[in-house]
Amino acid sequence: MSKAKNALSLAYRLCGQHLLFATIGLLSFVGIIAMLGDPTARVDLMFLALLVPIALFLAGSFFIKRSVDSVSQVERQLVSFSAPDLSIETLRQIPESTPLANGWNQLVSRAQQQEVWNGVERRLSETINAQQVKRLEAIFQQLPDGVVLCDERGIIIECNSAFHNLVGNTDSNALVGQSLLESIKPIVQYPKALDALEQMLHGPANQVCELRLSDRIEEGVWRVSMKRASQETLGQGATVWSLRDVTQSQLAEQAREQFVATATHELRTPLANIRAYAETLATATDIQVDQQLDFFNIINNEATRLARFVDELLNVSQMEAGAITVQTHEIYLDRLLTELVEQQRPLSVDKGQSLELLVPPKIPRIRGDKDKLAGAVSNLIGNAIKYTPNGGTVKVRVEYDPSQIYIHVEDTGFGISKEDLERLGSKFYRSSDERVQNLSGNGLGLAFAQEVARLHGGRLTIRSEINVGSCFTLELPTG
Amino acid sequence: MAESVNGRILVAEDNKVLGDVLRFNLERSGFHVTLARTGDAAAKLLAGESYDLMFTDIEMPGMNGVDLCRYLRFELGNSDLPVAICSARGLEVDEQEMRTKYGVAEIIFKPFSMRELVALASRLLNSSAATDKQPLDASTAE
Repeated sequence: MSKAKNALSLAYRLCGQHLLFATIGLLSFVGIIAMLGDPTARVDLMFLALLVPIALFLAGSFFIKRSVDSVSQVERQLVSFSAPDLSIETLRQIPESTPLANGWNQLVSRAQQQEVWNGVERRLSETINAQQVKRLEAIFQQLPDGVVLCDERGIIIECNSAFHNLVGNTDSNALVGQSLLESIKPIVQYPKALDALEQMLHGPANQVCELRLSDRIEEGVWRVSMKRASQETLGQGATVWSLRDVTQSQLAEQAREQFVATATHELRTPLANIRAYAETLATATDIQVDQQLDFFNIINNEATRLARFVDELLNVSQMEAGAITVQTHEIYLDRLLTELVEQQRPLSVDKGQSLELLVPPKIPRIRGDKDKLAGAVSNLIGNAIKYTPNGGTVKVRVEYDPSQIYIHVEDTGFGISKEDLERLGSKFYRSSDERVQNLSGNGLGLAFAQEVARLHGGRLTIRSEINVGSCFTLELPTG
Repeated sequence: MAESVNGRILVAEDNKVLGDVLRFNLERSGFHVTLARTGDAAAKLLAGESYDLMFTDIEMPGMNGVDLCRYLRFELGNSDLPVAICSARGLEVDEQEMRTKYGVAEIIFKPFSMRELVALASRLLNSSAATDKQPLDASTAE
């Protein structure tokens, strides 16, 4: 380094060397001539005197060439490097120890080292990027919501598997290139839904809508969000869609609303009666004692009805919270069922129905919570009477095998449609059948029976045929 | 005849217990009450008999209160009979529509007071008697 620093620049060195050799050559020539005195006397010596400067000149040329050699090598390399497709690896070290060569060699080796690092870095980041792209792709495919990227005309550029599932298409490439509207057409029966999507496509940049696939919520409701892409990478006017199936939460919401309606009705009806009778008793002082007694009884009954409803509500909310407790006692099923049937008999007599109890002899004993089981069976018998037209038949029948007891409650009632069967027993759900809607009920009874069966290690099964009748079976383990 | 002095009221109420106490209180106040247990029964009575006031529940199996009003106004073409309905808060009943389209004079909400009901009946019968006086006199004069 210090050598290079102290050295004169190449131009001066070349000038210096040139001058030095020329001067020495000239001086030696003049010196020899002067020594000889008369040049013509010694021609041979004269010739010799000429040789010395020539030799010096040649030696000087040789030295100068050596000095310039590395420069020309650098020049050659730089000229070839100026061609656009040449990389830094084509640069060569110069095998000399001139300051220029040293400097050049340093430069080349550093550049080449840098290039190697760059290469490593590039390859590394390529690997990392590929990994990231893969991960993002996996996330895209795993998203529970359907995600679709459309171009400005609404043609699908990309979509994930959740979207395929939503539209019921299993071929993973079939949807790309199709229009979004076309792709969902097969499952949307509601022309309004397609119109709504079309409007979204041409509407503002950010939109959300709830899309009903048909006029029945059960058939499907999607929550659709659309955002017009702002990034250049996604393309001008491209739209990103996310579609979520919210059918279940919509159904739950519907059930909740229905519950609020039925619960308020169930609370209000006895309340209205209590208020009316109490007020009548308070204001009409001249009522006969017999009638007064009737009115008090009515108030009592209505208050009981209110209390029972509140209890049922509490039971169900406790079941929800998992806080219901089961006491286990030995239960004499034949006696219990007789009691329950007799309790409900007046209702069936009012409707001119026949209410039968068929219990085989020597049924195995069961252990369980008598009150809860009684409540569950009572609900089933009450429902059967309620949803069976006048003059029909309700049968409570017991069967058993070594491990299970089956309590069937059969009726010749309205029956339950397939769609209703699936949702029956979910809390507050009541059939949409008009005949059922016309009767009061809170949609809690079956949910309770089902939960009681579960708590006893059994289950509630339902078989039904519309307009023929239904059979609710409480299966309980024996022992 | 003496009972009808204060007016004949048709009460449509599917809840038997409530219907009974409505009848009891209205009759004690001197009205003549006919109680229909269903909307359909009320419709039959409307077609055959004449009343001075109808009081109907909204929620009824089969023909409900709204259906009954529609039947009365549009199928029977009776636009004179004053109608009061009893509804429940939380029911999706368009009060404005009930008043303008079906000419419902009053809407009361469950649980309502018997005194309120009797006062309502008297008011509606008096106001309808006042407006009806002219044509009624004319018809008796004929």
